[in-house]
Amino acid sequence: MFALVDGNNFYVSCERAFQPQLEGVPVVVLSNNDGCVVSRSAEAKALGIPMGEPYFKIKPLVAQHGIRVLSSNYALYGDMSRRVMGYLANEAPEVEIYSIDEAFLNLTGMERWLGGLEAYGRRIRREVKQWTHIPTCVGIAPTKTLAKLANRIAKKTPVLEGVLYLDSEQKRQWALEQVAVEDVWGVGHQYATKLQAHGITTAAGLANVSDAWARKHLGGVVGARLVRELQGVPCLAMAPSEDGTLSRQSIACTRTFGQPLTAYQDVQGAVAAFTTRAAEKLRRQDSAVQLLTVFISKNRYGTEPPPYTASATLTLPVATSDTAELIRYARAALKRLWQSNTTYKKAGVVFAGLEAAGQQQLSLFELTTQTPQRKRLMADLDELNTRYGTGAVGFAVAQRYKSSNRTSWAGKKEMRTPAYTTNLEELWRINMDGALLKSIG
Amino acid sequence: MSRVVVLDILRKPLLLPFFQSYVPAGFPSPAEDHLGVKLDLNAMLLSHPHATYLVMVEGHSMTGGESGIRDGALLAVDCRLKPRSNDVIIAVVEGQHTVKRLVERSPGSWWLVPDNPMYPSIPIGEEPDLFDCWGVVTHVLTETRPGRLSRYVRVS
Repeated sequence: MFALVDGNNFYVSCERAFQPQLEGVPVVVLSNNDGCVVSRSAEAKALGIPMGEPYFKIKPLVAQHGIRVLSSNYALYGDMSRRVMGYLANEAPEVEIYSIDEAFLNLTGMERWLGGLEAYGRRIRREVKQWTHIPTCVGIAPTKTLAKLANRIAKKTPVLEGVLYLDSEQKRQWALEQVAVEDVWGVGHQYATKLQAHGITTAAGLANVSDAWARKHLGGVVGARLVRELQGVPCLAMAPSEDGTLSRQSIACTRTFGQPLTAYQDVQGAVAAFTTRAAEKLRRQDSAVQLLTVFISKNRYGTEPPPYTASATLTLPVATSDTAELIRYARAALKRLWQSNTTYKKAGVVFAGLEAAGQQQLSLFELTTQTPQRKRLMADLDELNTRYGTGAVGFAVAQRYKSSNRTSWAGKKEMRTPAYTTNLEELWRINMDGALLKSIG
Repeated sequence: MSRVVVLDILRKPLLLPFFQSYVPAGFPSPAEDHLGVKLDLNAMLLSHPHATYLVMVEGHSMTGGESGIRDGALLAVDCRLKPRSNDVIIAVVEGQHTVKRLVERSPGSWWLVPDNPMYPSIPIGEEPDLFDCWGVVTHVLTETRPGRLSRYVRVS
């Protein structure tokens, strides 16, 4: 069994956690350059504001309905995401962070241990809400694709109260009939059109096609896998798909070292190599990264005390896909985590908060490296490595780099809320007397 | 390899020397120098990094009481705890956060009570739920000599 847990309107929910006056009113969060809508509260959705709509187009609606408009506050979202994921990592045997607000849990063989999985899903939902104030939905099913489908239905069907467990054949069949074929995880726009042309309009229809038909019309083994997943046969393990069919919303590169490492130089080399790999994947899907996490792990069974894993997350001043720049930030993060006289077994780099490349907000005070020449360099680098094998050409991470201690200037964001949880100067504040004075009056 | 374990960096212990004996009046104990006890201040203040928040408070409605919450204090808030009578909590009143003591004055009758008697109490009726209680205050950090902490507080 797999579960998919995801935050409802995640960015809006993060803002509401610290501003209860935003409850029950329409709220939208804008993308990095205050350009487009990237998160909408239920009330804003009800007013017909589409995802990705440019801000200038909704201005009349904003004025008419008193919609609250906020700039994106990635420092806050990153921290809240880490809290949600941290909770989940303690609750499930295996967790795959799929994006800033979504995680798959592998619950294989846990039914007996956890009791009823529906009750387990409800408990997760209740506790995430209590710990982080983020409302979530939970879909539980025999495969990842079905878990995603169950989650979608749980979101759209209020009577389910945010949890759907597909524990029987009847329930699976019912769920498949609820979802349009274009909304199935892994069905892109092209395949959706093709399927509709063949008279297949729902997930149930797609689950009924033959293996041979799927192979012929849906890109070979990928399509066959998709259909089997819908039939309840797990084909996708707990790793992000490597075949590039899905544009991923987070990219991770983590490895256990061939032998345990103690020298800073060695671990730094490893982290730089992982960053290079992840940056290649990033460019392959034409994204740029906004949040970078580096973690390093000690031997869980050694003599050293916990915690075994330390992680640091940086919010980049400008979203980027430039390997050199990302290595620079990854090193700064590693420096924060490093403990000398310790043996490390494993390290990893995770990119989250991905944006489409070329749409990033540029900053006035950050030297941007995203010149056409740099883009060419990265493209050439990727081409060389494709031709001569991964890692044929790369950056010499042994080069000295003096990190300057400047504050990351996050560009101009007209309507950004403070970084309540991550910056002492912007720390969350409460005026204790306000509500009372009102109640006297 | 997809298992990403996320642990907050705040878990890094911050160990400070910790003296368990009271401040001696008179002859200092020679054994004091050999005490190896260390206190992890982070573990104490941030009892659970994923569910603990820090907040700076302003106002005078909690001044003078047992909690010692003054204007400009820094509070640690733990959201895992179920609020009990006499806890100091972050409460939501009329769409705003506030800090008050939660008191069950008689069975089933819950109130938000300020430590400063100059301010009124607010009845909330039934047992508090998530809508009323955002989290339970576990620690209060104030300064006896104004400095670093108050630099970050706006004088309103």
